Amino acid sequence: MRNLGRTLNIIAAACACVVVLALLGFGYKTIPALGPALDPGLGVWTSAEGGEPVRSQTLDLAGLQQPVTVSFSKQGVASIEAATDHDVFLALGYVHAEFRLAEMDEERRLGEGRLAQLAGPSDLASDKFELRLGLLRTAQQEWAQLPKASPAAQALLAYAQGVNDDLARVRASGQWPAAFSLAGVYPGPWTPVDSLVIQGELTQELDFTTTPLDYALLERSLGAKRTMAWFPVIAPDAQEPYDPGPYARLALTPLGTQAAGGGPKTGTTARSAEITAGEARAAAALLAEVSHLPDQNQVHEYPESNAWAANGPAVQAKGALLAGDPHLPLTLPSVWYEAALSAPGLDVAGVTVPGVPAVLIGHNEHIAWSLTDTQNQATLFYEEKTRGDQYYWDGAWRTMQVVHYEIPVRGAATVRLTVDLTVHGPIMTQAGQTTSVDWMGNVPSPDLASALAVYHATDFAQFKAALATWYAPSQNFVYADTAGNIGAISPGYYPQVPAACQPWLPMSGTGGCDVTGVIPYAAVPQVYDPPSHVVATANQRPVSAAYPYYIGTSANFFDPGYRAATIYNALLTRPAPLTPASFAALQASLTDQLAVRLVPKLLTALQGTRLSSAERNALTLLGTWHDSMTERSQAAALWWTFLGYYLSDTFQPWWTHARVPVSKDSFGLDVTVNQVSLVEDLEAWTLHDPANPAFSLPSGRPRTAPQVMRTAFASAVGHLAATLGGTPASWAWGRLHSRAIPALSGAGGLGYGPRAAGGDPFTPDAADGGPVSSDGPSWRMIVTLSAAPGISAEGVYPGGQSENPASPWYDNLVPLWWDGAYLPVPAPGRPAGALTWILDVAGPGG
Amino acid sequence: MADPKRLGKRGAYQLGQLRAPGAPPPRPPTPYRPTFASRPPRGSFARWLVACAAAAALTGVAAGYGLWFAPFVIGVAAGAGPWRARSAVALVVLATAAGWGAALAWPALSGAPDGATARAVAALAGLPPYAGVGVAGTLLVGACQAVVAVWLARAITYRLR
Repeated sequence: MRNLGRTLNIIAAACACVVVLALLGFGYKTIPALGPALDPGLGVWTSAEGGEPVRSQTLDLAGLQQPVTVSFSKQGVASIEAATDHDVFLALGYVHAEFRLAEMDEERRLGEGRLAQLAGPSDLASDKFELRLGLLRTAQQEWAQLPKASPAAQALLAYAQGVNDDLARVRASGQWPAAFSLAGVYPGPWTPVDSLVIQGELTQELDFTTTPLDYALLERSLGAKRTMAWFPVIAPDAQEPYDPGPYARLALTPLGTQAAGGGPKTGTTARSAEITAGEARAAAALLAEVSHLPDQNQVHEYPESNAWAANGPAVQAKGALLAGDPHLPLTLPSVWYEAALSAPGLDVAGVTVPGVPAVLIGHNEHIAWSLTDTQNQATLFYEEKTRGDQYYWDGAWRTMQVVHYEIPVRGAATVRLTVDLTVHGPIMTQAGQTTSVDWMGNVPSPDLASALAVYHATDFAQFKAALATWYAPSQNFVYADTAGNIGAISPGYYPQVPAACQPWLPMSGTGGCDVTGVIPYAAVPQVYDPPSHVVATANQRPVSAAYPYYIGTSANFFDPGYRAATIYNALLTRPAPLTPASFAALQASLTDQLAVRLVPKLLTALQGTRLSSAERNALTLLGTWHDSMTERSQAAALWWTFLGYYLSDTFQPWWTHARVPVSKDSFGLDVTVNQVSLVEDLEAWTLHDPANPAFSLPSGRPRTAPQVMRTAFASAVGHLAATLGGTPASWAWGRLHSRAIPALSGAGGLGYGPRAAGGDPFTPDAADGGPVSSDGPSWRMIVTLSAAPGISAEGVYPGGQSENPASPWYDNLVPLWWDGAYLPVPAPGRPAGALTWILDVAGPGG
Repeated sequence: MADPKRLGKRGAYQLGQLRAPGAPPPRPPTPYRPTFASRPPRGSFARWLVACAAAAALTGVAAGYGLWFAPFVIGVAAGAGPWRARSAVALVVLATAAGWGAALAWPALSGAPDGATARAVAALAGLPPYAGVGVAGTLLVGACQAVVAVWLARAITYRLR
């Protein structure tokens, strides 16, 4: 008996040892191999080296043609000086990888459907979606089409070499970023296709939408008439187009490789009068899939960005001023890496995207530019008529093209995925109705070639010519030059379908509603040296209702234009000529233009009504308010709460009555301020049509705008009293609203905030994303341009140049950004600071 | 209480006891051990201390070479050694903590931001983002393997001691 006990003890001990050692040595499912990962000498702890302050040193890099100097400012901003274009892009690749390797790898994994290999089954849905959508296929096609001797191909190759030089160094030293060591999954070599995939991700983030599917569900529940009345093509309120016309109607340009086969196809343009159950099921299935994706950037959600310019008498100094602040999800590390690049004939500075060899927003020696998203409809859904592995198109049955993928999954078996492709694009769902997507981001777009040409532009004509091949994502490029000219142009693909089709809904895939071409470049929105001496874009519809082409609906997906209105108002009614300081003040503006327009109506509606003591106090606050959503404003808290109730009290009864399936896509279907169309409707009706039938209840009980406003006001005061307590004087917007900058890895504790903050989605200093906003100005830049002394720029972004949380450059720029401060953007060709790396040519053998 | 009708049958005592439990039976007498007899060898404290220092040095150096399983090896050695179980466990836990702790602290002496890294490690692992959590987690990995190794060694070498 005693022997048996001892034997059992030995067996138990041996089993425990095997389990512990196996678990620590190999991991289990998504649990990493903690033994090597946490080894104090070679595991995650080596990432501490990467967190040490950067010091001057000489490094040998393979592939360099001549030595390169990289200097850093105290804050970590890099300036690269090289003797050739090849070397400057190689050095940029090296610097990006040195400071953002994990971010770059995660981004390429996202686009290439390889996240599950790193994170396990939880990211499998994302991988399947991305592989189906086709960023990888498009990037491979772009690389195949790019002449290898072209500057863009050479830049991509040099950049990849730089990234791989850093990878080789890290591999040799074992000093991987902690994310790799902890997961035990290490990055493979960088290729040009990886850079093009990341370019594709930006396109996806900026103009891939599922709004036609939302339209389908809205029509199914609310009915077609009401849906198009409340989500119209042209918004009913006043807009601020930057290109007010006149417009020319020119012949369409064939889309991409469509030249040979463009033009209308046979097939129906008609659709059933109502959305069928199958169509609704397909829309719901795809929306449900998309809404569960882990990364909020995989579908365009929030309107983004401000950019404006002024010249002539509008500015204090001779020349021009330009400002830009792209609004994107804020993360640590940031989407941006600030750098100045210099080589003979190439001088450019601004912000780059790690993974891509380009300055996206910035300036050269002669011109400056910034971007906002055009927000036109670039995603079309088609309902395919299928039979087995065939689909019916242009009068005949055709076999679908099939692509097979294998998705490695950490801690689980490899998953196989088959993607079917029609002439329109990938099949995205077969639930209820086989539906494909024709997304402009899937058309190869030589954006990098355009960007490289922009760097050499000296005037608007060259700038415009350089952007002629920028197809996706369509962007509003705001321009200014040292000669004192300003302008804007919105290059990109604007797909056109026959007039009988309804591109805001899923369309027939039999050929009749195929894209017949795109708006010719000469007719895209543009303006040069406007007589007002100012131009501004803030994602508003860039053209008026008279524009002769379809570019999207109010819900798909232009900004309501409140930011644009505030900006134009400030620029045009300037009390004094504009200066960089006045531009900075405008970037930090917290004026809510919708409040400017609606609060007087609310005050009028409340006149003479019986109010409680708290309501009277609240009314007094609103009466003396200046429409600024500051953190400490009581009235701001009251306004925003009121707006939510006003919107809800008006539309929610209809949503409930019609059973709008909000759960399928709460962002796209719920009654919130995210519904741009509803906000625009409410504004227009309140100002000009207070008896609009929408204010009445579905039961037929009549109501008017003032009545609904009074109800909403009482609800708002009651809600705030219950939520914040005390009297209205103790309320504050900052008690309801904050900003946060989460870590890109999602790790709690590595982000910034939440911290009480002002702003809302309608203020120039925008705060999108709800009560805890993590979307907003991701880069603020102001450029002063004149013939002499030339160009000077200042900028800041909420983050830091290094992704290593232990680095002093991890989040050192956040406080500056928060306080509205700026740093000089290093001038190309001049040292950014005393810290210097000399990148030397490696000898044979590296 | 038991069901009186079922006394003497199967299951009669499942519902309770017929009587209150009495005093426990007396424990058997322990073997007599004269105080002048020699106890089995347990090793002196000095030897324990030296072994602990050597084990710490070994785990620390091994960590630098990526030998993350060094605490296991130390654990096997300590478990087979002359110490009581508690002493052996204390030895390996202390040695691992000291060895790995020193390996963690070494880069910090040259300015590496180990504290911030520990915080990041804890956060990335989904644990509370405190430096102490990252360090404790790491030491736990070392201690865990050392302790199971002691167990295994003692189980195998039982007859030899």
